[in-house]
Amino acid sequence: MIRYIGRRLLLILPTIFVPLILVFLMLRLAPGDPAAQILGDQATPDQVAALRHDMGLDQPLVVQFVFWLKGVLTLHLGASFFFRQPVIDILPSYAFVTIQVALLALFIALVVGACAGVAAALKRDTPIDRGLVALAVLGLSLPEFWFALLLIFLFAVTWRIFPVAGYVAPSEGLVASFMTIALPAIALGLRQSALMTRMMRSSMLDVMSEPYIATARAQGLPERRVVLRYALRVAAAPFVTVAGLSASHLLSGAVAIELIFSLPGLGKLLIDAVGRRDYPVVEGAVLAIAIMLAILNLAIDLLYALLDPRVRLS
Amino acid sequence: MIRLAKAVSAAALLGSLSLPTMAADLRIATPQLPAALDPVVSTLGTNWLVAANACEGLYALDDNWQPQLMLAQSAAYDEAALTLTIKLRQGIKFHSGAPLAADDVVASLSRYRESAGTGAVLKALVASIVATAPDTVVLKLNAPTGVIPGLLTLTPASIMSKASVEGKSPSQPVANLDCTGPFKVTEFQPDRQAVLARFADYQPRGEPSSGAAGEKKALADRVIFLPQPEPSVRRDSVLTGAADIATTLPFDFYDAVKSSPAAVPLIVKDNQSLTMVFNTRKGPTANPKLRQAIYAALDMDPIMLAAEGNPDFYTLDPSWAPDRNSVWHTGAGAEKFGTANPERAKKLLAESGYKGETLRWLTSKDFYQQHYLPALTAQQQLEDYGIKIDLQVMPAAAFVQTRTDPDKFDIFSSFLPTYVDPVVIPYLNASYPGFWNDPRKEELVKKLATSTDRKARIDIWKQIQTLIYEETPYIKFGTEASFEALRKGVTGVTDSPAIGQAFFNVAPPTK
Repeated sequence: MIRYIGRRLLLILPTIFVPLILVFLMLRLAPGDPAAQILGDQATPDQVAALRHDMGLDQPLVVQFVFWLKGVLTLHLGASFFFRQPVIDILPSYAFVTIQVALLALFIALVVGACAGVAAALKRDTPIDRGLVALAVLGLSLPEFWFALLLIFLFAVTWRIFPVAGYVAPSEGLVASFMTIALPAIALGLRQSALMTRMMRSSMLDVMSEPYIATARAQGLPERRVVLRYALRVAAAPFVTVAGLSASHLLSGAVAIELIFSLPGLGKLLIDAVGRRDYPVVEGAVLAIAIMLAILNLAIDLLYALLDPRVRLS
Repeated sequence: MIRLAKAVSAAALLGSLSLPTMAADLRIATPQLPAALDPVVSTLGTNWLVAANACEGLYALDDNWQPQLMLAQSAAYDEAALTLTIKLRQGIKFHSGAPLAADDVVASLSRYRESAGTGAVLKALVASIVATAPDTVVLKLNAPTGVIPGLLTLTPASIMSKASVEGKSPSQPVANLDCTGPFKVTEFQPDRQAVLARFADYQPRGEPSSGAAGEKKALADRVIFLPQPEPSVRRDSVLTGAADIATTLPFDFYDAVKSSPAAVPLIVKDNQSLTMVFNTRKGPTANPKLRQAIYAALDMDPIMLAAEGNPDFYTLDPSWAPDRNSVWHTGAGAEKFGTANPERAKKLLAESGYKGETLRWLTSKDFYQQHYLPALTAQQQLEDYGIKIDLQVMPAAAFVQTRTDPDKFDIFSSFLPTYVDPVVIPYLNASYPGFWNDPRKEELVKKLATSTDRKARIDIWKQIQTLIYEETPYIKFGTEASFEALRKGVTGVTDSPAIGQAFFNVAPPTK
């Protein structure tokens, strides 16, 4: 097990470095100059050139790459061109917000998806099944930002239960913090729950037709025990794989959601940094997201083995 | 279900109780917050938002865009108009508690004059800035000029304590704003909020308020800026009472705000000009005849209507200083502005030798739709005359860089607000994208910079505007308003573009 984890951790390195190198190149090859962004409209070309020199952006690309690579390997990600703070100091607070929202969204997606999927499977071909499947198709067809705007209209503007936008850190009040991330998490989680509903339904239908389920029933076990103890555990294994994929979707979907709800998360930071051509922040944010996804995938693999005894980690 | 609803309501109540707001907080939903507080590091006005409320300069702009004394008690030129002596007001304190002294002014302005944009204009005009007494600063000028007071009204020319700016280059932002304004920054998190609290030791001037000049009162205990990039969220924040003011709203929301019992709309008329700028250095548009033909071909009303959606939100006004209250507002040089002249357009097009080349028009939707929509409508109008336009829509960062290369564009979309002094209008700078470098213009701008008589300066500006309409290096479509939503009960907000983004003298609703 430990050897397996060690080997997977080594495999994470190329998973992280390949996108990082691509991002480094794309940022510098795409049009857009950080110095011009910083100085603004009224700066003369000479003033922009002087700032580019100060920032080292007039160095050949190879030289910039060597400095950047050295920085990444030593975890010196540089300082933001705009915030003028080390990237390593900026990222944690933004990542915390994104993780907070993504975890709550994942929890919503898992609970709703599992319950709806199991219910649809157990009530196969009934109006309940058809209704849940129709809702799942609808959920998958609608983008997160649409859900977000609908939720704001209903729960923030019409019924005034949640705030329209903004973020309160848990240190400033747990309830207030929850209220600020609830709608974004629901907007993110609902769509993923639609995917999980379909997956769980299909998985449960497969498992429920297995001979061992028929055997369990023949032995007179209560249906509740058959479903919860024998069917659900096996059906949950592919569900967990989908949950892992969903988690990565949640991180990317968080970009739009963070913009709409004005959440200071990694997605918003990344979008702003790309717009401003704040290279160190973009690279740092991509690194943080890549690490989070790699660790998440590892965790999912480990969980998979725990759920399905047939899977052996080697 | 009822229990669940009660639980949710209780949670909501608890949540709202825990939110960091006070009865006298003025909460302003704004599209973005600057990444750094320091106004010196950027020439973009959007980056001056916080500083405009926390800092003051030696001068401030009144509603007529005229510089009035602010931190200065008096200012006088010598007989040759080569020395400007400024006496400072007594008893002024910085937010840190330190008293304002001439050394602070020298440190702040010396740093400002090394910065990009208007700082460089100050550097070109001023030979030295020295403190001759604890309350006296002397600016030695390279030549007589009437521009200095106007430059010193700009937010980057704010006076900060010497201790806070010492050792900081103009590209290194200060950690916090140690200024003298009615509010002081108590919290700043770039993507969350900026909180400014009333500065108890603030010393207001005695003159009546006008624009950013005169008496300033911190009527709110705190001013809280909340960055909300999504316009509908800013609107909803005001409609639900989560914010008191929502800035920079699209006009599409006007009816929703007007019909709401919780909010009132505020239209700031004559806010800025929507424009197109030609590449006058290279390509087909280097030919003035083609530029003039394009101007004659354009019917401005449909263009502005497409941009704003409602005739109440724009005017067809020819002045390149769009605020009618500005002393620089003039119709000089523009005859029958706004109406197309097809005969003249065809004649000029024929004279220009235009052979059907495709003109590359750069635009971006990142700034706001008002960049893109006028370009789209103008493109349709020009195609009726056989003028081919390749509308290139690109991200803001790419737009800003591409237009610096005269080989890569013929036209780009732009906008222009009213400036304190025409000398600082970026379009007039020959190195600004568009690169208009006409000896007559250069001579007039030089005269404008070195003239001290106000009436004479206004006359020179009229000549410059006339030349702009003759040579057509840029075209103005019209003047657009801006739109804000105010929560019912908010008082003191004015519709003067001169006050900019300042929120002193504004009170939140009383409970």
